[in-house]
Amino acid sequence: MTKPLQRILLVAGCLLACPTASVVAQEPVATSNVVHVLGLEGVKKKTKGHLFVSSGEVRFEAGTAKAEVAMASIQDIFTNADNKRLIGGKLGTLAMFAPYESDRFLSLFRRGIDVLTLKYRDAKGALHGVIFILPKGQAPLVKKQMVAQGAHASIPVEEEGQKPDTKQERKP
Amino acid sequence: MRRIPYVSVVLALFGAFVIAGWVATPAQAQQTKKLKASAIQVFAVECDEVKLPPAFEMALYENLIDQVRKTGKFERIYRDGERGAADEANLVTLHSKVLGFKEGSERLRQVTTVAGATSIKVHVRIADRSGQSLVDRDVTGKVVFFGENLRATHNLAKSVAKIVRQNFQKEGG
Repeated sequence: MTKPLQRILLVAGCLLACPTASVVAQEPVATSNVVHVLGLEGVKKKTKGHLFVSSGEVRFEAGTAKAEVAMASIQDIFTNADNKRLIGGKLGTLAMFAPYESDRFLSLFRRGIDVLTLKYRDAKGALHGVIFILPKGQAPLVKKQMVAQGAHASIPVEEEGQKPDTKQERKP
Repeated sequence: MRRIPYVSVVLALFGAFVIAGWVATPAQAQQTKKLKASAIQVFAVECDEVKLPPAFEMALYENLIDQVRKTGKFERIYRDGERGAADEANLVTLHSKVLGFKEGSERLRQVTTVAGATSIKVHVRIADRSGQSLVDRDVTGKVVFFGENLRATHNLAKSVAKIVRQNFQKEGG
């Protein structure tokens, strides 16, 4: 191949590659099987959907219901590990009527979940709180992505898993 | 000795009760007189002394707004920091301070039924524009048998809504 032809192909390649790269960078990162516990306006409580993290916003979609939170408006992000009954929902309720207290036995089998809490202020300055339940191990990753996109978090992702030594809890 | 007829004693006692009731009625009416306000501003939950997990803090705040809205006693409900609340002429504010928190275990509740309860104790204060307290009450929210730990915040918010219903009436109602 001659040198001018090589140069033309190289330039053409660069021109084609550059816009593709920028599109890839702006593509939102999605997390599926996310449950909206409460807080989002226009989305019902305990709705299962997808959480998208893009450069400007966090978007939750569940069928036709949709809600966005601007990344710049997020004041804090918290993550927490928890667990839930393996057999839940309607089947879990029916299990209550099972003989020999087998419902209690089934309650011992649990799956890990992550709780993601967002604290943000809207355009009017009003404080909002949103809680999501994510599959185990997903919340720190989502938090990392959000912080990278410009959201504010008072506790870094690395420190969040560590529990404080002193308990300040007081019994009511 | 002259005997007092039994009927006259009963009549005298009855008369005394009627008069007492008549005198007491205005005072009682004053006590049950409900407050009126066109708007309420719900402030963020204060948890300086007792550490409350962020999920509980935000759930309590959101549930308070939700339950106060459901009472239908106010035309407008403002959130913490919301602009526009300052312009309201007849505004009351709802402050809540966490006094105690005990995080139970959902697993323990489901397995044992009697153990693993979650409870939150909050001091609720509803004040007028000048900051004078209109309602001062300690409220507790619990999950004893069924439900997730966060349900304690929902139960607590429902109790606060009950207090609002008892003390407020809708403007123009």
